[in-house]
Amino acid sequence: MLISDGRGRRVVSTNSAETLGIVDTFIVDPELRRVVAVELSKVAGRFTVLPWERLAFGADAVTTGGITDLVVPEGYLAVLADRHHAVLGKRVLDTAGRELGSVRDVDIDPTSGAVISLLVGDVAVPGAALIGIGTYAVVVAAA
Amino acid sequence: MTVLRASELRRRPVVTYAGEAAGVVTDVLYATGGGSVAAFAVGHRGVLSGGAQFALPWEHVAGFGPAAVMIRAADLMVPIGTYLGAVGDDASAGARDVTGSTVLTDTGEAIGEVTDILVALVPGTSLQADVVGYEIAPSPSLAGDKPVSRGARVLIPVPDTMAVSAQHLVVPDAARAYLTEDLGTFGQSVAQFRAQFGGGR
Repeated sequence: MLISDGRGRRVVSTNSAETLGIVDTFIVDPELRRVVAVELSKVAGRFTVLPWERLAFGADAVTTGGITDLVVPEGYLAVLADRHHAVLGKRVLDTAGRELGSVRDVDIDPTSGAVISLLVGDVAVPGAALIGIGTYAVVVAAA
Repeated sequence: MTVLRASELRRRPVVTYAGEAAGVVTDVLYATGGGSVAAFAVGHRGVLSGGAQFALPWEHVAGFGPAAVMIRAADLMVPIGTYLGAVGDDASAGARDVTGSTVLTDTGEAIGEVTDILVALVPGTSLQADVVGYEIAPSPSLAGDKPVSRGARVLIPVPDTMAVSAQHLVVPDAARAYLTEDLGTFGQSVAQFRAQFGGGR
């Protein structure tokens, strides 16, 4: 699944059947090379982040138990969730110091959240090459 | 062999594997004798950033490309004062910029003034940054040499080891036969020169 397709999907509570919010941002942990949480928009309050292990990413909606599954990101998750660490649109450097382009989209496994590939321009960089996601660049292993 | 002007390295961002900008290259520090790059001086990004804050020893450069100098972690850089202190007198030779020095041949002819330093990145298991030549503003005595056009800067290859002092660089007279104005073919000039006169790797 491309994360651009996942954005905008509604998040529904299986307890109350209410819509809790809309998927806005995918939070990627470069060490685990997977999506660890999604940040929601249109949410009332500060609890805006839904950890990946508490959700099911369906074709039509994202489901989760209830509003209490939402968290305020803390610690390492807060760093990853920081706007400056967003993946989409960021420049991509390889470990040889070459610029490959910028991240156009990310293909993820909708079940595990694992990064399958980063789409950089016309090239798909395998998720296994992902090394770092920082404020300046996404770093991947040189091919 | 890719040959670069040392001046082109300035302002190149230094980026960690975590994707953070650790600074920009402000200067190139040379090893004793001037034969290779020992370290980069690194300063903060931005116009009003002042001078170098850190030294990035060449052995900690993980990747070197047109877009960035890559390092595994920012703490591999050391405060510039610590670095220059640790290398002692060697560093004062190494840190000295030879730009502006007079280039003398071993036959005693002043052929020009250094305007830039030419560095080759030798691909391989470990990155090597060799000083392979100099860009010089030629003196009139070079006017008789074939490729020198009026007002142009010329590139001259140097052996692996050479004599450098505060005032002079001494190059073999034979290097004059390998003068070029074209950086693109300079790598070949160096290879031929070193094959013939030694110092090649």
